[in-house]
Amino acid sequence: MAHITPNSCIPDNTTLYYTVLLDTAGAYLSVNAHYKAHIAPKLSAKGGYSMLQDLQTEDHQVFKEAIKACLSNEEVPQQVLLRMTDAEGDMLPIHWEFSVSTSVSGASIIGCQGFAVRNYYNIIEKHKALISQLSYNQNHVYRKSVANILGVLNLLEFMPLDEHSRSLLHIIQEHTVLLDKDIRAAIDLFHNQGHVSNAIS
Amino acid sequence: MSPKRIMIIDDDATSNMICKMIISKVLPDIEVTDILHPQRGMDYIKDNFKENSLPICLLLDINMPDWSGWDFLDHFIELPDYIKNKFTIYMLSSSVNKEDLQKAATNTYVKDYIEKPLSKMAIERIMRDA
Repeated sequence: MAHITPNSCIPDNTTLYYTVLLDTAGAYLSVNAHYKAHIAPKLSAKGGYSMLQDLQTEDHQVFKEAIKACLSNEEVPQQVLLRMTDAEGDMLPIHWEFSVSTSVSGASIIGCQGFAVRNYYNIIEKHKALISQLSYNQNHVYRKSVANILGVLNLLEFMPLDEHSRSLLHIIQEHTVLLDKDIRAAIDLFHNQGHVSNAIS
Repeated sequence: MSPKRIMIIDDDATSNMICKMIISKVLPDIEVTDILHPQRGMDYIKDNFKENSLPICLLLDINMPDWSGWDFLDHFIELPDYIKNKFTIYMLSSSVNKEDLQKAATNTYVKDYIEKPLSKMAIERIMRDA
């Protein structure tokens, strides 16, 4: 484990990176000026409260798991996207890297370096919404019509038809089944893409 | 005892017509009722089902305005047991979404999931398993 002091690698006046030192319970030990100004203006020089208080509730568990993973495997930094609540009360997504270090007093501490990914996060969210809408359309709009055509074709199987009509119906059936297969393949693709988006964000 | 009646709750009138026609071809003696609005379906059940009512099979769509099929089931669980016990419920949907299939598989009141269109084979399975 490397011995570090707060903000040893990043200039104190950075406006790009957030640097935070936490104890192993997730409470602040120190933060850089950029973090203090944007996220934790009320944080005293002594630190003290948990970083959880500056996180959106939905990401509390993600934070706890990242700390746990960090402590259980100290050699591997943990990358995690956390939705913070900024000083204005708005959501600010920050991509963090957490790693365990040793303080000058010999205690284990967690060093966190992060940067805001608001634009990237917004793109991913729009992407997820689009995938969700496309998936809905495939399942409930396009497939609904295809299912009704297939239903009518099933009914026609019970009816007396001349050979010519029967062969034309088989062509319609063959192509409707192909269309149904394509819709199902698209649904599977959207399903998998949705999982990729969730994993990224 | 196999149900002698089938109820369809689905906002797609075309699909309901197709279902009724295919059921009548496969099982001419079965009585079929179709209802376009889930809330009206719930009112119909409350008004018409008594302790001595015959068992019934319900084909329930998922994607409907106001109440989805899942919303309908949330209200269905509030009904008295003597009504609930009359019903064998199948989700009947155009959706092939894995989440919908899993949701149906884990719902206590859903017997099975049927992809539209309702086929002869699916009707025979319903009558065998219900």
